[in-house]
Amino acid sequence: MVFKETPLKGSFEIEPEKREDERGFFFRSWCAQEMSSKGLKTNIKQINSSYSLHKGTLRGLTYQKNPFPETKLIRCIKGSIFDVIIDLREDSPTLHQWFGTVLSAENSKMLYIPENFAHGFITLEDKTEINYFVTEFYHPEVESGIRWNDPYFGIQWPIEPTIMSEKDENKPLFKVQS
Amino acid sequence: MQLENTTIQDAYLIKPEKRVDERGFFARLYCIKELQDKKVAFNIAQVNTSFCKFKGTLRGLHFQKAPYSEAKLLRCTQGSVFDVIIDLRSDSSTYLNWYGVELSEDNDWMIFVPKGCAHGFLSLKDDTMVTYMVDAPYHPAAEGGIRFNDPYFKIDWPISVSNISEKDQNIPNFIP
Repeated sequence: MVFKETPLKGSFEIEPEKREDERGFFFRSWCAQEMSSKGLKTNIKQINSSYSLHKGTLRGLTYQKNPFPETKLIRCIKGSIFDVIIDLREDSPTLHQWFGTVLSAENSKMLYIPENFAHGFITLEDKTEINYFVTEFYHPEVESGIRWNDPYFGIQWPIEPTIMSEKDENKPLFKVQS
Repeated sequence: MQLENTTIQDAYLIKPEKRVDERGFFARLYCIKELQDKKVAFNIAQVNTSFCKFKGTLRGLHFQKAPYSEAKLLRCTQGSVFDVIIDLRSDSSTYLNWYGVELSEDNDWMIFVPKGCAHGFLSLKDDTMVTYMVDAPYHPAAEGGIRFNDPYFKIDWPISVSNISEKDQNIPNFIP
């Protein structure tokens, strides 16, 4: 696996190394030993699947607050997405900056997202499925979110969203803590 | 996640429960706690993806010898496979039995293969992809195999095998 740190320190784009032969290919998409040797968290508690029927479906952005923050690893196994993270770590030099990248079944790329980041994505194709690994159980009481078009962050989505939940659409604007 | 018994002791067919809305669906594919509650101890050490270009590609059957034996949790995310488990645990009530089931992109079932079982699959469609989680790091020296057409097991594959590695084809006969 090839690890490339994004501009938001501690988050990584991870590319698997394919081994091809006449049958097809094989690759390792996750390895506890290799991940922990890079200082990444490996205590996976849940793996979730999120499937979107249509291109332009936006989900997020969501995060879990302390004391149950999640580390996530996102992989797109069908179709493609533009995946976005926002740094919400109070002590981070890149606090409130966002980063986006295309994850697709074809590029097999994954995004490793540390604790205290918000995460969301928009599907770039119909019939898109992502799988995400999570290091914490879901705690609805600490769930929080950021609206996809919150002017404070100015995320540049590559296409216009056409489908999203009412909950995501009506998220309040972000208030900077003073 | 619904766990259904198979004809192999401790092996389960897992049917994810999808929460559907106008956007698509959400499903839990793995939960360490839910599996523990159902007496399946499974920590993920590695996740692998295997892609077969052609229908009729056979991979396996493989197992890791103790103390490096592996439990596996598999899902077919594209196309379909006939997935087979052979029980090689001498203390099991289903010792030397085999079990096969079709896993596909359409049924979205997963299979849990306990430690001490051999495992292999045959792709039933072109462009088939299987992703599997393993609970132990891979130790090449501990690898063992059973040939897909070993006369001792007489596995009833649903279609003929047209693509197989030399290594898998030349696995010697099983001696009980």
